[in-house]
Amino acid sequence: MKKVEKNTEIKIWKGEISVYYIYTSGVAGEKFFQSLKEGKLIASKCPECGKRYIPPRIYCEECLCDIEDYFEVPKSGIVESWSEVYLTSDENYLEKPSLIALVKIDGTDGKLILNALEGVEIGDRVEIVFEEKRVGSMRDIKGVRKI
Amino acid sequence: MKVRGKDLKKEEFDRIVKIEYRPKLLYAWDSGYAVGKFLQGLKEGKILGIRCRKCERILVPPRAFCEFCFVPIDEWVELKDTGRVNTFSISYISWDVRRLEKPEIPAVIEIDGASPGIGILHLLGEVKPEEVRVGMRVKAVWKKESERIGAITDILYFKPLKGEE
Amino acid sequence: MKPYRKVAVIGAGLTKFMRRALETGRELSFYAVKEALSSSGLKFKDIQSVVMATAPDAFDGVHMKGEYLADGAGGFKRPYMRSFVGGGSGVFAIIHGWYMVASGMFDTCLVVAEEKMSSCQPHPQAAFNSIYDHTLERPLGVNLLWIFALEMQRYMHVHKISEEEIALVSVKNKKNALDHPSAQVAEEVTVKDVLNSEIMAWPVRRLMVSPTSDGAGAIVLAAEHIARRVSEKPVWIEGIGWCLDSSFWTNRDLYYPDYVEKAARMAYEMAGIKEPSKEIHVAEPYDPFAYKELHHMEGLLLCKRGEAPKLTAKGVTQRNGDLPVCPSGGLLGVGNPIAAAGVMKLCEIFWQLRGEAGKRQVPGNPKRGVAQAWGDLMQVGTVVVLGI
Repeated sequence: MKKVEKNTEIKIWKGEISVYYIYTSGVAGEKFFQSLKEGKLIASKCPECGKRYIPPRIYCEECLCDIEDYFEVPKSGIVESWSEVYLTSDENYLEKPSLIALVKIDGTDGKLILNALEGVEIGDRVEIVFEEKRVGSMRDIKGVRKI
Repeated sequence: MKVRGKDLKKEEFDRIVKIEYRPKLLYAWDSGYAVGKFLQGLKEGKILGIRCRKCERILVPPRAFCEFCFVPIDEWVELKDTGRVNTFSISYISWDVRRLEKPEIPAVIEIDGASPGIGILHLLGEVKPEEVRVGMRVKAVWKKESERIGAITDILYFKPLKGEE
Repeated sequence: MKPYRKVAVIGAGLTKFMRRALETGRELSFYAVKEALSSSGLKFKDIQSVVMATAPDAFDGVHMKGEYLADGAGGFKRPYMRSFVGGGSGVFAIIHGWYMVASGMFDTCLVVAEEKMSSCQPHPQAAFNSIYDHTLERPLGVNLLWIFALEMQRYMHVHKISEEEIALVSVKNKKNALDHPSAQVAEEVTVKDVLNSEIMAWPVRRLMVSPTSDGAGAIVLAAEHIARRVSEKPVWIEGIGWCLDSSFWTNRDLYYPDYVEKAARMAYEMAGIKEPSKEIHVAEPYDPFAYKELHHMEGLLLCKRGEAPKLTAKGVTQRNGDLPVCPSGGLLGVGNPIAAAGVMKLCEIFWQLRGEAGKRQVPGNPKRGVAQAWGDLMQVGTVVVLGI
C-alpha cells in the first residue's frame, strides 16, 4: 500500500441521516404487549412439534406452520445467565452498574432478558415482578428476584 | 390463492402498541483525494475536472480512477463555470415530503470543458419554471468568496445565460 | 455449452400489499412462504436452501435485516443467503436461487422477498435520500423524486413523448390491478384524472407514481427431477441476466436504460431468443413510475427506442393485445414493497404461463414470459425469462 502523498485541504464532509421509526408489534406481539398491560405473561404453542414460544409467535420456525394457540404462563423462571453492566451504548459510565439476567420462563421453551433486582446465580429460581402502572411495553416488567 | 395481511386504518394504528426509535445517525465522510481537491476548487471559485489519459474523457465530478478504463487518473483540468441543461424537473415536494409553495428546479448541467454528456446535479435559479428548456445555456452563481467553505453549495445555483441559445 | 441443471418454479405466494401492515416483517415473510409452499407440492422439510431479498435495512429500521427475517422465511438451520441490489433485488434473488439449484449444490430453494417500509418516519422517502452522493448531492436538499423526474424529462424530450402517452400506462395498470388479490391502489382512472393529479416534481404527477408498501412474496425453485415428480406444470427458468451501470448517473444519458438492455441480452441469449418482440408472449417490466414501463419495454428490446408509447396508445400492451405488458397491474396498481414487487412480477408470469391467472389471464396460451426489476441510482437491471 502506498502512502497517501497527495494532500488536499478539505478532507471531511459531515452530514446526518435523519430518519426515525415507529414499529408495529405484529399480530403476536400485539397480543403479548396487551397481556403485559394486564400484568400477565403469554406464550404460544406449535400444534405440530409442541414448541412453546415466548415472546409468542404466529408461526413455528421449525415446522413453518400457523400457530393459533396462546396461553398464560407462570410469572417465574430459572436464571440461565447474568451480567453486571457498567457502560452505556456510547461507552459512558453508568451512575450505578445494572444487573441483567437471562431467564428461562416456566412453562415455555423461551427466555427473556430482564433486570435483576438483586444479585442472582445461575440456576436460581426467580419470580417476575410487574410494575404497578403498566402501558403495554417490556418496561411493564420491573425485574426478577430470587424466590 | 390466499393473500394474507392486515392493513391498518388510522384509528387502528392509533390504538395498537407501537415502539418508537430515534437513532442518531451522524457521519463524517472522507472526501477522498479527488472530491477533496474538487471541493477545494469550489472554495476558490473554480469547477475542476479530471482527464483520463486512456479514453481521454474529461470528467466531472472528478474521481481518482476511470471507471471505464480502470486506471488511476490525476490530470486536472480547470473547467468553465457555464454549461447546458441536459434535463431538469420542477419539484413541489421537499426532501421530507412536505409541499413547497415555491418549487425547486433541480437539473443535470453539462459543464463546458468536460466531455459531452458529462454533467453535475445542481439547482437552477433566477428563472421562471415555465421558461426552463432542455439545452438552455446557464452560468453558475457563486457565494461571496468569504462565505465559501469548500462545498457543492458554494455555487448557489445556475442561472440562464442571456444572449446565447 | 456451460454445464448447469434445469431449474423450475413450482410454487408462488404473495401477501396483501398494504400501506401499513399490522404484521412484522417476519410475519409477512411467513405468510408468503406458507402460500408458496402449499402451492408447490413440497413440504417445508424438503426445502434445502433459502434466499432472501430485502431492500435497504433503513426502511424496516432493522439492522442486519436479512438475518432478522430468517426464521419467518424458513431460514431455520439451513443454508440461507441474502440478496441485495436495491429495487432489482426481487428478480435478483430468483437469479441467486437459480444458482443454488443449477449448480447442483441443492435440489430445492425457497426464494423470499419482504419489505416493511411503513416503519420509516417521517416518510420512507427520507431513507431513500441517502442513495445520493453525501458530499456533492445531498447538501442540495435532494429528494428521490428528482431523479425520476429528471429521467422522465430526458426520455420525453429525446423521443418527443407527451404527458398523455405516459398517463395511458397509469390508466392501464391501475385498471389491471383491480383483478389482483394483493392490490393496494387499484382503481379506474382516466387520462384526465392522471393529468389533473397534483404535480410532485414535474413532469411526475401523483397518479404516475407507485405507493410505498408493506408486503412479501415467495417462490419455490426445484431441480428438474423433483419438479417433474411433484408439479403438474413446472415453469422453467430459461434465461437470467443482470447488469449494473455506473453510479455517476449525471455522466450518463438517462433517456435509455443501457443496463437493462445488457441484462436482457444476457437472458435472451441463454434462452435462445433471437426476436424478443415476437418470442416473448407476456412481459412484466418494472413500473415504479408510469414512464418506467415504457423505458423498460425499450430496454428489454420488446420494441424499438421511442416506440413503446405508440404501442401503448394502440392497445398492443393490453391483456388482449399482441404483447400484454403488466397484466398484473404492476407496481402502479398492486403496490411497491421494493423487493417483494420484483417477486410479484415473477409470480405473475408463473401464473400466466400455467393459465392460472384467473381474471388477469392473457388469452392465447402464452408460452414464454419475461420479468424485470430495476433499482438504485438508475443503475441495475435484473431480467428473468420463464417458459413452459
